[in-house]
Amino acid sequence: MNSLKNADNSIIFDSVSKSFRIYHDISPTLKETIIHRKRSTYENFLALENISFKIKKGETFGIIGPNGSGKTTILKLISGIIQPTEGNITVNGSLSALLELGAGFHPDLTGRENIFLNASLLGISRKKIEERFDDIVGFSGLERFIDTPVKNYSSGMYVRLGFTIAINVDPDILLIDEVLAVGDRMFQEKCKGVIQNFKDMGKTIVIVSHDLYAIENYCTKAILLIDGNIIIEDEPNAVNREYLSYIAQKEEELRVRKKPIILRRGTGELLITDIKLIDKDLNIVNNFYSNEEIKVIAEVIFREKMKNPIFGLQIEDETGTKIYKINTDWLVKSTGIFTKDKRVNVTFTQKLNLNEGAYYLTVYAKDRGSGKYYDLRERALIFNVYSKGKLEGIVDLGTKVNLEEEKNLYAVKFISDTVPEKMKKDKIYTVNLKIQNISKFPWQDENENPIYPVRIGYRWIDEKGKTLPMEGIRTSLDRTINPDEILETEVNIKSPRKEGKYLLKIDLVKEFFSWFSDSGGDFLQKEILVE
Amino acid sequence: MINYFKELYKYRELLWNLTKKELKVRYRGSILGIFWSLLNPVIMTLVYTFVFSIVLRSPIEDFSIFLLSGLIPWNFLASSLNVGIDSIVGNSHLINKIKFPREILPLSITFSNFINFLLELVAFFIFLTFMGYKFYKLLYLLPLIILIQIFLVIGATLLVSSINVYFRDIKHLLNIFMVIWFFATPIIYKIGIVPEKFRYLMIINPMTVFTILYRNIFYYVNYPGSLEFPSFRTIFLCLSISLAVLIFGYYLFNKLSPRFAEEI
Repeated sequence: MNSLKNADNSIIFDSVSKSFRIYHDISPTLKETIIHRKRSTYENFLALENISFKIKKGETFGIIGPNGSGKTTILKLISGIIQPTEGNITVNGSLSALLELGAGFHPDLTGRENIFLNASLLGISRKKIEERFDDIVGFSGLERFIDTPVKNYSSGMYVRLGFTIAINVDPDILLIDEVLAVGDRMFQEKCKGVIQNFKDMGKTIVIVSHDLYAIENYCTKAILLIDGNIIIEDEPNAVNREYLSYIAQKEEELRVRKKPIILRRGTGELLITDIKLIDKDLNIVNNFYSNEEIKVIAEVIFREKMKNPIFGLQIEDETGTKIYKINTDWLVKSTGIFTKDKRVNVTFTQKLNLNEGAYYLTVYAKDRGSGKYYDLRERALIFNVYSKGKLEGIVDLGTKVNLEEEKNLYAVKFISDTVPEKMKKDKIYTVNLKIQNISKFPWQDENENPIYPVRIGYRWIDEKGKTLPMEGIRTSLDRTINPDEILETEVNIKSPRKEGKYLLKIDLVKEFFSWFSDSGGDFLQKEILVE
Repeated sequence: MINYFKELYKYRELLWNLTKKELKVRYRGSILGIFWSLLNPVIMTLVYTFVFSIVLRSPIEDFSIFLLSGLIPWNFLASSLNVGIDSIVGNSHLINKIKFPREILPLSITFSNFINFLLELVAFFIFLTFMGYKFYKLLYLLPLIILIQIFLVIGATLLVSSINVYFRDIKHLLNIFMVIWFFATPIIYKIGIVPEKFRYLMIINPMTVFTILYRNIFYYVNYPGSLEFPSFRTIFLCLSISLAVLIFGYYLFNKLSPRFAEEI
């Protein structure tokens, strides 16, 4: 009945609950069950409590929450690995779950065999994989190891192959667990690119993470899950805020016990009665994003008449290292003359260019002449800073980065070639290529494969624009091309099996992943008549 | 129901790939490769033939053929169960991470053992030819018997693999049960020497009927006077029990499989 209404929803959770049995001992033996009627004692652990939400088609949906809040349970429910205890789950469309990369690999089988085995586990047909086999192998960059048993793979290679297979499922719905947090940075970038691609294709994506950054950058909508309950369902930004305050609250609870003894001393001629932190919307808060502008407000009451007292603040990190100290004397010199019983609010406004962490705030007032403290409130407040990005160190210097494509940086160019305009079908042609490095830097692969710095690959594209399955050899130059150097090399090109007009594209590639993105080096494109 | 079979059909490649994997992993890394699978029945036959023909002086002619005609089908059942019992528990990493029809796992074990069974049969045929046995005379009956035995093997494998998720000690139980079952089946003896009153009991065991049938096809065919086929009722009983095991195995497996991921 609801099918019309639900047509534009990919996933619907309708009052779903899921409880797990937590066994208290190892499962009983058959004898114990039959003879003593002993049942294993267990507790029901409610992982999800009456959860309802809808994910629209084309939406990128984030699920955020602390460990053990039930995030992965939701993914497993969506993918059908486990069944709900109560409620209904509707899933419209095929799905692929990136719960663990390379989960189905068998160590004794080769990469090639594992590609087919893993693909069939994910429900991809052999035909489809055969069509994409070269792409998969090329993308993973494991051409040389494809017939090696995967037990000899490094963990990086393992993950790379698993990821490549999983994204080739071509699903309507993609489920991503925190798996993407693994791997080196280059691989992570690759993952992000793939996610963006899926988004662009209008596919539904569900991302589970506790990385605020990921949620905010990819998702159009998000939920915060705590102890199996949806706390908030909103825009990622609002959900993240909520999550932050939850964490802060938890941390506060933990910190109560180890809260430092508040040191307060001074002559008392002036008292700092209250210290607050407020954000730009004038809310009193203790948690900020880094780079946020905050105000420190100290309420002061003068118990004596005085002239030009100094007000100051100091920020320390958790280890007690002084990070910043400032006072009115250094900023404005004089503060003025104050009568007895006068009340004043001293406001310091600054940007919190700090890295993530907890910080202590000290506020003081002292006499300008003698330097003695009227009121020193050491470590009066603790506040937390959260970062939307990632950095290491104490301060956030607000680095902006700009990447410009510099044509001459790593550029190598084809200068000439002897590729004939007509070819006979199904033959191997040896062509000469002249390549010049026109940049200031040597052309080499700095990260993966010092043995094969430059690869020359070719593709045949037929009149319909379809790339033919790759045959034959891709050449690797086992040397570096130095600046200005012209290199002559021979490449064997196998012509297509059928006659027709084709586009031959020869690429220069510097590293694995640029192979399919056309972002590698120069390329040569020629129309060739195959007879 | 139709959807279920559609889904299963979609995963036929997985079944085939897992079967291949099972065979590959079993024989890779051993120089003798596939011959290892043939070595087991050969050694068993040598041992039993020595004990029965030479030590106990059994009057059975060509004891090795007599034995092998029962032992090869038995091995199909026994190795399917022994390996298949761990097919769910041993693949917890798959069950926990990927959604696919769970029965593919035990089925792939049965299938790989079935292929092994066929290979052993081929080797056996060569041996029979060498010994001058006219085994091809009744060979047309073989596919039917194999088919019924497959029902039994699949059903039993599904049964033990799913129960093993809940009761791990069923494995020990199975080991003992298989020894009893082996001796309760007339593999190393003739059913004729069993006292009349026990024979009815033995007929309930479908493996008894299979062994008698296989033995007629391979062994007694050379001694035309001693061919004796079980009654139609007995064969029907065997078929019914095999089907019952298959249906019950499937039923139980499907009932238990939705919770595999949690219980493993």
